[in-house]
Amino acid sequence: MNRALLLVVCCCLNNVGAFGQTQIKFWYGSSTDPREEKGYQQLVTEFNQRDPKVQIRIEKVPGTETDAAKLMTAVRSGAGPDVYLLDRFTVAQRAASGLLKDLGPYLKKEGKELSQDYLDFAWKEVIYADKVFGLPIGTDTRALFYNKKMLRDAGIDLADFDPAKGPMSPERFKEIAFKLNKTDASGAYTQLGFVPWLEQGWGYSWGYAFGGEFFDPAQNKVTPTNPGVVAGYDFLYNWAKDLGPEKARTFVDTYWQWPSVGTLPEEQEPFLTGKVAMLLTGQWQLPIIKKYTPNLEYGVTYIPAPNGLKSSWSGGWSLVIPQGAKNPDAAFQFIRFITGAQGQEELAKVSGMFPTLKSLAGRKDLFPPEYEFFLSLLPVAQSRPPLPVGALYWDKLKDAEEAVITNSKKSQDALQAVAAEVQPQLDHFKK
Amino acid sequence: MANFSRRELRSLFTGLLCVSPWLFGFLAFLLYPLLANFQMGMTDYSGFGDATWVGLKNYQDLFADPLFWAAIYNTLFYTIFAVPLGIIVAILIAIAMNQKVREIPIYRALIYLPSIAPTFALSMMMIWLMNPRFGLVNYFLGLFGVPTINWLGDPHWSKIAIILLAQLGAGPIGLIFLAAMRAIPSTVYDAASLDGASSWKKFYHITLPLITPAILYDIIIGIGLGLQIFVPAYIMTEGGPLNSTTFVALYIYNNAFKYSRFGFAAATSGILFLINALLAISIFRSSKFWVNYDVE
Repeated sequence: MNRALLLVVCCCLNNVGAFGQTQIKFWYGSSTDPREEKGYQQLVTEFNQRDPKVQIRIEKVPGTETDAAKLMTAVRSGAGPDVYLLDRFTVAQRAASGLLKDLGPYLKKEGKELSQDYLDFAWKEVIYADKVFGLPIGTDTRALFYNKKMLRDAGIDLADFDPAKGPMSPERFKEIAFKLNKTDASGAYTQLGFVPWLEQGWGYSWGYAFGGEFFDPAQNKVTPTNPGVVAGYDFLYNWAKDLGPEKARTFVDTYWQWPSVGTLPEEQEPFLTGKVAMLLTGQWQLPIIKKYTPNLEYGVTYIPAPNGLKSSWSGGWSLVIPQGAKNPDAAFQFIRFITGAQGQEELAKVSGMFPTLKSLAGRKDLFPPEYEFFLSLLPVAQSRPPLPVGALYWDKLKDAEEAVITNSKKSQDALQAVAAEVQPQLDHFKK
Repeated sequence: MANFSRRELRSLFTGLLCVSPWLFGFLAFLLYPLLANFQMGMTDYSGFGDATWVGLKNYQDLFADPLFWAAIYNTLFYTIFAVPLGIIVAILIAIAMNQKVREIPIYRALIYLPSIAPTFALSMMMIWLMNPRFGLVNYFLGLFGVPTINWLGDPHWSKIAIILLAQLGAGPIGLIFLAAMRAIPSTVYDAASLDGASSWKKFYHITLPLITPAILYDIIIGIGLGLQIFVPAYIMTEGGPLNSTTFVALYIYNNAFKYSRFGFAAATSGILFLINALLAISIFRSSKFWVNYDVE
């Protein structure tokens, strides 16, 4: 009996924390990068040690970039967290749906104006209807990784890949990439030079590379049929056509695993295993290479683009307070700590994410030397338009990409369909 | 009430009291959500804040969305093939479990085993088994000269892959069939044997007709589950390739939880409910032509 009582008491303590202690639940989604995860854990430990009265409980919950089902149901049932790590480009959407708390009153209480402290694009992403719904943390850039040994073995002069020469033209790049394609006796691909839609080869990457714009703020219109975006999708269409869409797909599904989210262990990435010679991805690839293939001879250069256009785009995260948070004041203190100078500096060192604070922007010393090229891309990097239909737009652009790489639709038609589906939803929010 | 005697009234009350937990459950967890869902389907609602009444607009948008029709097609395709195939597999399982050999408990456990694994785990495993070039499934088929099939990446095969995966869960229905088979008196078979009936004839003329009540049950349950197919598509394909596995349940999920369109999602669920009810009623109506209740 006594033992049972003790058990009950322990359980209660576990839930409410020791007497006089404020417990804060901090959730992050299951698709979070393991190194970033480590960074947050370290910061939480530090915060907990600083103030024993406020204790953060960090929990990993199911959730991906556009899927916040767990968060939504938890908030509705009153069991939501106090702090959530939300993909920044979806803040506007979640704010519009009423899921997030307006941070204005807390900022006001603190009496500090933060809008000038953060990188412009990152700050814009946490604003919806002129209100602040989160604080930006972490950003990244995307570039082209290439395997020097594979290229040399195929007799290719690496001079074309020198960043000093600027981006390669798409035609030249394709010529090089196709030299590395190999097939087996049955005609199936066993190696490809480059697959433009692998990893970060989203429509956004190629749309920006070809000088496209995805949103027209003046008219409040999504612009997937912008000529640059269409050209980017045409690039994908033709690449798939020349590889043979079916054969290319079998290759991708063999070595990449469908769908890409979460099912492929990072050590089996085709770039690490030498199945592809080049990969478009972000700086988070650097520690992965270091960990699993430390001897890989690789380089990093600009994403190929017409007319020498230097392009990249940046994403990142934000810390938000969902509706119904039990301890919003303490939660806000925690968010300020993590997104502040000390927090972002430590996080950068552990995870390799770039800080979103202007005061840390030039700090190359936070990163190993191989990050330098990615840092240099920040000034040219664009960001996804922060729209209340961000997740829908993302998914529909992905659908269009799939239609294009299977050659089942022409770019123009596929992108036209995106506009037709997304614009009415966007208009809906104008009221 | 006038027709009831006091005594009858009292037993009615006692009876109702006895089934009250079920009644409460039905009202609170079935009828109320159902009606609330139809109401929500008439609103514009993000899941938070206030809902605005929009009447039938959600239904208009829904019928105008080509993806909705694709989802309906995918779901019906899945149900129409998965349910009958499921019955065949379950009958085979039941027959296998019904053999009179000493080690039958071991066979039964082995046959039932895949049904214990959660669909989530099976789906994860299937991604590897169905890998176009390294997967065991293609390796095995390759031994018979079947060319490489991209199960999950080819829109022509993706639904079939999910239909095949569903057969791993046929165990529980197999058990129901087994129970139905065991309920058939052995005298019937003995008489048939005396008349010189072959095993096939015994199965076709005795077993099959006498387990039709169980088959009816399975079809109705199967349609309900089939129309709600979600997990494999969510785990393995995310609705792809080319939306060939975007089933209605996934479509509802995406609209509700990814795009915060709860009103729209509720309207879609309403349609799914109507389809389910219509199919179940028509199957039930048809049962008098083919279900045999002779031996009880």
